[in-house]
Amino acid sequence: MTATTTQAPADKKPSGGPRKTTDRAQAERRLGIKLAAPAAIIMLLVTAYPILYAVYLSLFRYDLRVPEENAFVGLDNYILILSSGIWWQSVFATALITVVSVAIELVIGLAFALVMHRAVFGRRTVRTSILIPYGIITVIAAFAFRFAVQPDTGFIGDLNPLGGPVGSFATIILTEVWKTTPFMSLLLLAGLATVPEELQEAAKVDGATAWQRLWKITLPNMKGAILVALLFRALDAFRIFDTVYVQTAGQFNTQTISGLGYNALITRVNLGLGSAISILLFLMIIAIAFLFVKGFKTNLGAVKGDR
Amino acid sequence: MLGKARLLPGVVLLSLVAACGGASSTTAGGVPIVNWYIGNESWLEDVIAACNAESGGAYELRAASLPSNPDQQREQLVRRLAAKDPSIDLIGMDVVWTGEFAKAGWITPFQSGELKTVGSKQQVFTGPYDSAQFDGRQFGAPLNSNTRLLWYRKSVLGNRPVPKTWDELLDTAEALDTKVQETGKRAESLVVFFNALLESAGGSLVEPGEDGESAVALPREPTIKALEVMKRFASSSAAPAALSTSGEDDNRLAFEKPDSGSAFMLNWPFVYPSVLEADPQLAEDYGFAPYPAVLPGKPARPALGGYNLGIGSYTKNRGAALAATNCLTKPAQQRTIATTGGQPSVLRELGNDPAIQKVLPFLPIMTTQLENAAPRPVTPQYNDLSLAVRQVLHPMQDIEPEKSYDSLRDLLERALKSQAVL
Repeated sequence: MTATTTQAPADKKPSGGPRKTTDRAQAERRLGIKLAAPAAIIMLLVTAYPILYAVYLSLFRYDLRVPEENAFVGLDNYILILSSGIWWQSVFATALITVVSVAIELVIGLAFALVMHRAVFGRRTVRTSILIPYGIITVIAAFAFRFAVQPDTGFIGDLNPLGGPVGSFATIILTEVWKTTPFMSLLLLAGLATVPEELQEAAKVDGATAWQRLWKITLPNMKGAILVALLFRALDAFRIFDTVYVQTAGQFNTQTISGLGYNALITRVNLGLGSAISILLFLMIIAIAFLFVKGFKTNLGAVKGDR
Repeated sequence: MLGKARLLPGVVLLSLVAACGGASSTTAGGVPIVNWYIGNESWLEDVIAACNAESGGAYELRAASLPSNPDQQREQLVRRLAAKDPSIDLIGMDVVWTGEFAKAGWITPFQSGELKTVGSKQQVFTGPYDSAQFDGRQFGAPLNSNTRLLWYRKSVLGNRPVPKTWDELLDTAEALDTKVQETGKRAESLVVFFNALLESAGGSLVEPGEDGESAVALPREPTIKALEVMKRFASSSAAPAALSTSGEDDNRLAFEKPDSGSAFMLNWPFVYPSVLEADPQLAEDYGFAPYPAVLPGKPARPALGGYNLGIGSYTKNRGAALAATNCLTKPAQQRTIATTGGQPSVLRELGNDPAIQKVLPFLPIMTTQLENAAPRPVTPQYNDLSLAVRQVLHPMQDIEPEKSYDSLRDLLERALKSQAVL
């Protein structure tokens, strides 16, 4: 939905015509810039400045605990990170959690969206109850699942899934899925609402089964919405921190990239190394977004499915 | 567990309030305020009240509560000290933070003569005294101290001898088909465990290097020996199912259950006041013994815990903070801390104090151990070191002594240069 609004002004631009700006148009333009300037400046201050500062810091050995040893080291921090097995382990853990949880969320989320879309009675109740988990703070959800599976407080007996790697990943992914599937289904529901009802009717008349209609009509027509939902969730999931921090604190190789960054920046106050980790995470997020947009060859603005 | 979780938001809120209220350094009446940043302890209110009464208006000591988890306490302090927060007057530092805080210039050293009761080795036990020194100067005023002990259930052990070494302990536990409660989760408590084994086997994590900086020690034979003990324990039938996820408090809770199935536990003395309160009858069944050795005939060197007091470098009330430090380290306050919190005093003169021994019957053992204890390394990079040890040694059952030795040495070397990704 955000994508639609940002796209809109770009579409209208050409209507101004070449070199025919009247005084009034110019005045309006100037007013527009003035009105937009405060927001743009604040955006620059709160996002661009920290990012640039992090890039700058990442080129230094900058450890607050040994201030006198701080020095410019060029790309050493990046080399250090990229040659470390622990880094690649955390990239793997992050990717695993992202891929598995987003895949499960897409399937369940789509089912929920269809339920919400087709619900005949109690529509509001259905929608509200599906959305409840999303309203719960991640840390609390993470604690709830941790207490639920721990032998001393939980209700699954002595299984203790957090005592091994498979169970640890499974618990983290389960928590993520439980918590964010509603978000996924909400985005998909928006897409579902834009699939023209006439097409469904026509297909029905032609004798298409419900399954065929889902695959041939519904899904192709909401490709844009699915892409947006996947992109948002993938970017979100890739930055996962709180669930892991609460449930495993990174043990059994579940440490994620954000966790490594936290350790370096907050625990070890090694700002140089920590900034480099943050920048690498930032670059990976950009790469994911880029891949999605290019790979699916879909215009993000075309949420309506009209290409 | 649940109670703790419910408490958390309250603690966070409290520390936020404390953070905002730190602007003024004196009371309305002009009395200097000493903000004491320390984790919540049962004896806190008592000693603060005693010192405020004693000060006669020279200062007003106030507790600024920190989270209950030491890692989180440190994170909050480090962030604020790095930002030169002037409201931090007095800090209750876990002994292992002393080197880091001193090197970074976040705490100021004590001049000779400034500390009345804890300024020399004649007054303070060797272990706690050493933990407060950095670069040849005293940066911490030892407040209390303890080491882990071996706890056992008298009724289960029967008339078998109390194990003196780790091998005996595991043999006995296996024979009795019972568990040994010990910390195994990826946290500082794992480092406490490993450091005790390593030092008992005659090794150490770091040693002074050529340039005065710390260098990795890890002598091969003792390290391998320590790793073998860990490996044997984790793969033994004496290892509890939840070993790889339990910390000190999980151990305490498991051992406190009447039918716990665990006859042994390695833990700090706080477990004793705890069981006295929870189930006085069960406390009768608690036996205690020195921490088991690794090599027969060579006494164990368990890791040292406890608090050192440090005076923040950015405080506006150093004089008042020093006065409060001298009050808190007096025998009267030390006795309060020992009797209400189960945390023995650092003062030699209280080493066999009858009032303390009445409450803490294990005091003589503790006194010996405080003399032999091995402080964890006092180095600015302690935290990196600790993270590196946790990284390699968790989970314990996956330790392969030879291989783990190499990766431990490699990672520690990088950690000491603050060049490890952890």
